[in-house]
Amino acid sequence: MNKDTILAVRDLSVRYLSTGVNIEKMTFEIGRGKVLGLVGESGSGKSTVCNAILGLLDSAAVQISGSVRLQDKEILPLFWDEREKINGKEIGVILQNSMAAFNPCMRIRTHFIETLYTHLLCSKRDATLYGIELLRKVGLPDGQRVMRSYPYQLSGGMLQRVMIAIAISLNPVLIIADEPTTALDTGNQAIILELLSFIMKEYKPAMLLVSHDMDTVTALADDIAVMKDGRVLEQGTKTKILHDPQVGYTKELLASAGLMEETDCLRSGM
Amino acid sequence: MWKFLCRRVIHLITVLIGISLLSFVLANISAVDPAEAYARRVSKTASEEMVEQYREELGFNQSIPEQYWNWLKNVVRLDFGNSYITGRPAMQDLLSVMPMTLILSGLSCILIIAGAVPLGILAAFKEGKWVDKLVMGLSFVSISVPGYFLGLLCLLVFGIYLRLMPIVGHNHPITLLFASLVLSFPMVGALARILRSLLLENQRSEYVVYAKARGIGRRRVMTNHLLRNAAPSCIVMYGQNIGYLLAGTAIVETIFSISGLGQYALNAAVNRDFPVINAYIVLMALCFVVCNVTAEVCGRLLNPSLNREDRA
Amino acid sequence: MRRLKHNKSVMVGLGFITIIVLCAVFAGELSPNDPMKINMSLRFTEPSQSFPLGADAYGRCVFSRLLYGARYSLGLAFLVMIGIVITTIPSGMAAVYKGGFFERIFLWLCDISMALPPTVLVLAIMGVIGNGIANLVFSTLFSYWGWYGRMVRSYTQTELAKGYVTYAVTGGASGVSVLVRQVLPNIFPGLIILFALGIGDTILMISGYSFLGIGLPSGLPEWGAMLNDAKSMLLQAPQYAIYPGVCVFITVCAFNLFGEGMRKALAVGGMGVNYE
Repeated sequence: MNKDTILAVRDLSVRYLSTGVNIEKMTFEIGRGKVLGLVGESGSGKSTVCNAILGLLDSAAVQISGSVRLQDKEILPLFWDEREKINGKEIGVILQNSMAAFNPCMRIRTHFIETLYTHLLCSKRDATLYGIELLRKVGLPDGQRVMRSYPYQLSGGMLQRVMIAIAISLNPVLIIADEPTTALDTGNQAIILELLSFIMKEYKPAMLLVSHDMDTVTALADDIAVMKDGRVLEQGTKTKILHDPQVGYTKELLASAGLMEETDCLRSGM
Repeated sequence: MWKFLCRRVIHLITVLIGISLLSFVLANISAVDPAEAYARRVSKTASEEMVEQYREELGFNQSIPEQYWNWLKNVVRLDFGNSYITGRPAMQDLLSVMPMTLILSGLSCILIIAGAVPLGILAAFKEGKWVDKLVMGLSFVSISVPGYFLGLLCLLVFGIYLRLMPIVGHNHPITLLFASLVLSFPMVGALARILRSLLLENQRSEYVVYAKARGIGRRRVMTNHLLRNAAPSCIVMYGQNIGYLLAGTAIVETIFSISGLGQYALNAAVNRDFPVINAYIVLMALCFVVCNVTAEVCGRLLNPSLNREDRA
Repeated sequence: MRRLKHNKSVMVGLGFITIIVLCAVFAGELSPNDPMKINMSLRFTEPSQSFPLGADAYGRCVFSRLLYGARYSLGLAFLVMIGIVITTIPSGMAAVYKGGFFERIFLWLCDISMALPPTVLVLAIMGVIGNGIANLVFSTLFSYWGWYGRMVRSYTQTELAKGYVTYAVTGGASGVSVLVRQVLPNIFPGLIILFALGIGDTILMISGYSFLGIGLPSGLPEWGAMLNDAKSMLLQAPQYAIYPGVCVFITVCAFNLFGEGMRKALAVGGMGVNYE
């Protein structure tokens, strides 16, 4: 395997025993410092892919086959307790619903301490100081106050930034961003996208960016994969997908985002 | 937090006023003429003059609003008059028998926690397996069994057959222990169920997903997240149940011959001892509300998002 | 409806309830003897043809007393529950709909009723107005009223916030019509569960009060009262404590099974007339 390939997914198939979106034979690779944008409508299976890679699926309710290798280590068959070394440390996560992702009974500080302590065994004080430093990086200069706060006291945009701060805290090689901007208003969306771009430049992880919004994906991605009904219809570099879409569905997506014309996509792509 | 406390105190006062109205109204619609009842208690053959004398003394000849006002003034001073039976001040009497009941309730409180918490956690952890079904079955039995039946069975088995528990002689420690067990039994089942369902409900929450995505293991998720979030509701429910505990001791005290508040109040009710009954209501209302408010305060401390003003 | 048939808890519970209700209703035909007839020469007779479970300390047939006891235990609990249903549902729904002052008064009344544990309230009320079945029913009703009132209120509140109500009101439906034809069918399933579970509780409570000697005139064959009698004879004849206790236990189990089963069944599906 190429030394620079961080995530290699081959023939990943997930079949739910009752309800859920099945995915069939997904294959893609993400290299160091590269962003793969996974785009598709709701119900296309994008989140199922993320959950499979993170080992968040209920092993009793699904049938999984295929291979997911993280830096040459097979991680697909690992769940929960077996994931302790990987989730959080090798893989950083940014979820869609930031207001629900934090425990309402725990302060932000406790979230940081919990994550850092699980992987690093550092003291509470060190974890707090490091956390404040990270918060400054993601654009929350009043780190002390944020750390002291409970989730309900912060806005959606702020919580999303905290999530990003926690995601990069342990220098992961892979970041999975599952609809990071969907729950935010337009102003905050732009801010978060800029922040993610900054993270890419500074830390150079591999990133799997999932969204139903073509604009978001084209802003950050190097490669794009288009999903529908659990299958990848088309994938390739961003330039290829934008300039030369093969499949009708891809053309529809581009059209609805106003990206069909060459001049348009040059303007909105970063 | 202070706003919440102030609101609750005002609420308590309005409710107490309501209760005092209630007991006053009841006393006056009863068919029995209180002056006569009192006179009869003092001496079996009370003449008309004596009844009139008592009526004057006890103030039953004043108009209703006057009586109520006097009564209210006395209540604030915790003066409910003297018991018709013992002749001592009612509140003093009640307070003198309270210690036994407090010991009983206190023991039960500890037993409930010691029983319900491990069972609830165990059942949630092993959801669907036989341990879970066993715990659910036991808890079902515990909420369906009548307390007095359990008490009598206890008396029968441990007192008579096994001779582990003395059944004559008042307030023996071992008897108290068994009495607490019987008193706490229904609550253990109820609380274990609630804890289990709260834990299972929380397991499907988004923040558990995020915790797993950050690599937090099973044990730590249980303690840091699930229990922490289930605790506030459980504590609030527990606090309410303490109130029921204090009140429900009458049955257990009767079976195990413990001289406590429950038995005393029962006696007063059977003998229509109005001052004691009035004092009893106010005392229990106070205890009950204090327990409730304390529990709610603890709940809010643990789950600060309940403090938000937009939540009614 | 079909789903209910498959639900074990509901069917078993319903089965037992039917048996017990039949025993209560046909107690007269089923019992071999008069449950109140005292005959001191027959004290403590062994179980026999004419006395299936023997006779108690006063020579009364235990089996007959158990059968008639079903009437009292079940009947009183039903009375209380029906009283609660009749009073809380209309007043609760009206209070929420009118809102404002009415709702405040309603809540205040509920809070008074809930400010004291039921036993305390019943003890106090009975202590003041005296013994008797009517007084017992009234005081138990009052002590439970607040809790159910609040539940009706919160269910109604949830429903009134839903879309189909706004739809109906803008369509010109009157308040009463909205409440009765739209909201009521939707809160009904939830309320049935509450009341079913509540009957079990009420039976426990009422028999508990009889055990303590409050309420019922002595001698009536109520299960709790029978346990009270048995208490003094525990040494000589423990079986007289077991029979009534088991009866109460089975009855309450049946209602609880039924209620829990309904809760599971309705949570999965939902049997509301919902136009949303």
